Amino acid sequence: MAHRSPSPSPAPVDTIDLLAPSLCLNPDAIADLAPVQPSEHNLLPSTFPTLTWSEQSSLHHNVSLGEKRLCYRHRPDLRSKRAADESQLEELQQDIRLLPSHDQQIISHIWSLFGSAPASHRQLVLSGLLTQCCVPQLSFLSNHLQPLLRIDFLTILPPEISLRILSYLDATSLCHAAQVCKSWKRLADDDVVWHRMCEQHIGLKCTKCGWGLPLLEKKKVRAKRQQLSYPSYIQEVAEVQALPLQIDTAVSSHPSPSPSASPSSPNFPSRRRSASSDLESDSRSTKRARHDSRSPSPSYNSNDYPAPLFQSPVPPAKPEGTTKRLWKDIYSERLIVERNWRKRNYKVKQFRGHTDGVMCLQFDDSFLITGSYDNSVKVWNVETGECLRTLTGHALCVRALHFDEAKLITGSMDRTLKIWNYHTGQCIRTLQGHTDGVVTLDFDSRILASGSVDATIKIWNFATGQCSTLKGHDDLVNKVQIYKKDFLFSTSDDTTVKLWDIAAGVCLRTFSGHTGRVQSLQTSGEALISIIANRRHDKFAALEPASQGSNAVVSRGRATSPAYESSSSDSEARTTRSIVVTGGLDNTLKIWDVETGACLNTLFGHEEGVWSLAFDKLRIVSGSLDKTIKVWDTESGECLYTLSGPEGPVTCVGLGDTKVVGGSADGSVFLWDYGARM
Amino acid sequence: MSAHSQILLTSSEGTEFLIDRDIADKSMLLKCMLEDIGEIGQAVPLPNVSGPILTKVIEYCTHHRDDPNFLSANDDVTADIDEWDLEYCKVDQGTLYELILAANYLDIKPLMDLTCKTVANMIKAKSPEEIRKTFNITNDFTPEEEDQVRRENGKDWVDEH
Repeated sequence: MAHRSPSPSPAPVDTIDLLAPSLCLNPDAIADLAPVQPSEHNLLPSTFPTLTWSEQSSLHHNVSLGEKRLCYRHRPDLRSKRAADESQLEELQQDIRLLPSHDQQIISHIWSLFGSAPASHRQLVLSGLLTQCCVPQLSFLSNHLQPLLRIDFLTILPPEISLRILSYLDATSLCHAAQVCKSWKRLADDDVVWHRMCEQHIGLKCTKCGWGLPLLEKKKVRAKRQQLSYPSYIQEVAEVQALPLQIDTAVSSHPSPSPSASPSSPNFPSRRRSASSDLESDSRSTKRARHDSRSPSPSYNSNDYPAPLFQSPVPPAKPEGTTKRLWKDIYSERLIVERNWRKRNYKVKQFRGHTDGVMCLQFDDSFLITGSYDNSVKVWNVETGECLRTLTGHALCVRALHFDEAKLITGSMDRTLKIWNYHTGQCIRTLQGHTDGVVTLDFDSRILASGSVDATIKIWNFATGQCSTLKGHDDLVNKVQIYKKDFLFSTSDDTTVKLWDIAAGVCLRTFSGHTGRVQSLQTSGEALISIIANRRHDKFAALEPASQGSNAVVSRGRATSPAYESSSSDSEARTTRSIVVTGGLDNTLKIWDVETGACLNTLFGHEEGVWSLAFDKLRIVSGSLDKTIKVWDTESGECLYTLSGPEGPVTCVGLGDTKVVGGSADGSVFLWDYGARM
Repeated sequence: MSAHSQILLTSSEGTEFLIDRDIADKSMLLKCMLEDIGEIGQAVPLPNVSGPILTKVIEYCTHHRDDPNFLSANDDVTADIDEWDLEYCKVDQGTLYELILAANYLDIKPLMDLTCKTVANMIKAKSPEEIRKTFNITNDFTPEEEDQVRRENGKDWVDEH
C-alpha cells in the first residue's frame, strides 16, 4: 500500500487507504502525494493491460505541475478547513471495499490514470464520460457538484478584495461574518470596513438601509473640559481680538457703549491691544485698524486704540488627540443610542429653579443655559442638573440666547442684548439699538444678528462694531438664523420667512405658505439632507407645497443614474438638498428647499401652534402650545412619537445627539436623555 | 490608430481572442498598455486568465460597451444590481472566484464591483452557520472563543433594518 508522506493536514487524512484515491489527493496539485500506483495489494493481473500516458503528456504534466498555481481544492494550507471532503472519502472507501478485489484494482487504475493525466486530457476524459452517462448519473453529478464547488472567498482572495466584499455588507451581516471562523473574524472586524460603515451612517441617514447614527462628537470634549478647573482658566482669559469699535448711526443715537463702561467686567484687561502671543490675531487686528483709520467713526472716543464690540473670553482648551478607538466600537456605541431614539428608551431629567416661564434655551454636552420671564438666565450642568450660576442684569424677560464655548449673548424684552462670560457670570457688554424688545438672536465668529418686536433685524459686526439694520418684515421678528455666513433667515408674525443677503442688506426671497405667525426656524447650514419630495412631479422639477403630505415621495437628487432612479419603487426616490424647517402658529411645520423656495413638506400633528423646533439629519423635534414635544423623522416627515411632561406650552426646544431639552411657559425644563444603555 | 481596430488576446491555454479595441479599453490594464506601447500587432498574452473566464469577461465588456458611466456606474455601493448583471453572475462559485481574480488582474472596476457585490449578497442576511454552509467553512473557534465572539457580536447588533 502506498503511503502518503506527512502533510500539514490533520491526522485522519493520513490514515486514508489509498485504494480509494481521494477526492482531494490530487497529484496534480500536491507534489508529495504520488499518483496511485499499482502496489502489491492492488497489482493488476498480468493479463490486464497496463496503461501509461505518453512521455510528452507526462512531461507536459510535470512542467505544468511546477508552474501552475494550485487550484482552490488542492491548496494544502486550505485542506484542513474542509472537513466535508474527508467524510465523503471515508464513505467512498467503505463502498469500494465491498467489491471483489479485481474490480477494486480496475477502479483504482482508472482513477490513477485520471489522476496522472494533464489538465487537457482530464477534460477530454470527462467529456467522454459525460456522453456515456445516463440521466440518473448526470443527476448524481449535478447534485454532487454544487457542494464541491463551494469556495471560501474571503480566506483565499487577496485581503484587499475580501475587505471590498465586506464593505458591501450591513452591520448585522458583518457581525454574523465575524462569527464564522477566525480568518473571517479578522477581516470582518477590520477597521477599514467599519470606518466605511461609520461614514455611511454617522451624522446622516444611510440611503440604503434608512438608518443614521448620531455624531456624538462632543463627548470627548466634555470629558476633557471637566478636568479643567475654572480658576486656572479664568487667569488665562486675555483679549483675543483687540479690534476697533465703530458704531453706525443706528447705534450712536444711543449712549455709546464701550467695554469699560460695562461695570461688570472688571476682570478683563483693558481694551488696549497688548502684545499678543497670537500672531495671527495680532496681524489681523493691525490690518483692520489701519483700514479703519481711513474712515473714523464720529462715535469714537479719544482712545487711540479703539474698543472692540466686546472682548471675547478664551474658551476652555480643546482636547488633544484622543486615543484611537476601533470604528466597530464607535459604530456599536452609536447604534445603541439610535436604537434608544427609535424605541423611546430615555431617562427624563428636570431642571428646577426658574420662577417664571422659560422662553429660550441652548445646550451642549456640558452646559444648558435657559432664559426666563423671571428676567434671569441660568447656567446648568447638563449632566447633573445642578444650577451652576444665575445671570441677572436684564430688566425684563429674557427671550433669546445663544452661546459658544466662550461667550453667551442674551436678548431681552428690555430692548438690550447682553454679552456674558458664562463661565464666570460676568456681563461683558450691553448692546442697545432696538426700539422694542429683542426676541431672537444668532451669532457666528464675525457677526451678531438680532430680531425684535420693532420688526427689524440688526446685524452687529464683532470686529468693526458696525451695526446695520434689515427692514422688510411687517411685524415682530420671531427668529433669525445666520445661513452660510453671508445670508440670514428670519421668520415673522407677518406669516413669512425671509432669506436675506446680509452684506447687501436686501431680502433675496420670501417663503410664503404658513397661514399663521411663524415662530421658529432652523436651517441645515451647509449640510445636505435627505428629504421628502412630491411624487406627482418630475423629481427635478419644482416641488409644490406638499399639502398632500401623504402623497409625498423621497426623491434622490445629485444626478444619480437614471437607471437607478427608475429601479426604486414608484413612490420612493430620495433627494439631498439644503433645507430650512419652520414652525408656525398654524400648528404645522414646513420643510422648505433653500435653493428654490419651494415647500417640500408640511408636517401636521400638533394640536396648537408650534412655538419652537430643532432638527438634525435624523430627526426634527418641535415644541408646541399644546404642551407637547413631537419627534419627527427628518427624511419622511412622519411623526415618530410625542413627548409630554411640561404643564404649560413648550416655548423652546433643543436637540442634541442623545438629548432633547424642552422649556415651558410653566417654568419647567425637561431633558429626555437617550444616551444610556438600557 | 482607429477606434475600430482590433486586439488579439491569448488566454492561459493559448487560445486566441480577437476583440474590438473599445472593448479591450474597458480593461484599464489593456487600455494603459495599448496607450503606452501602441498596437504592436501581436497577441497580448494573458497568462492569468483561462479561456472560459476570458470569454465571460469579454461578454461583460461587450454588453456594457456603450455604457456612458461605465466607470462611475457602480460608485454608489448601495445601488442595486441590474437584471442583466444579476443573470450574468449566476455562475458557480468557482467561476465567480476566477471572475473576481480576472477583473482584478485586468483592472475592470465595474466588473470587480459587480462580482464582489455578488459575493457580499451571498453572505448577507445569513446566520454564521448558514454562511459556513454556503462557503464550506469549518468553524475553527474553540467553544470559549465562540462564546466570546458571539457576545461581541450579539444582541447589541440585532436591529430592525
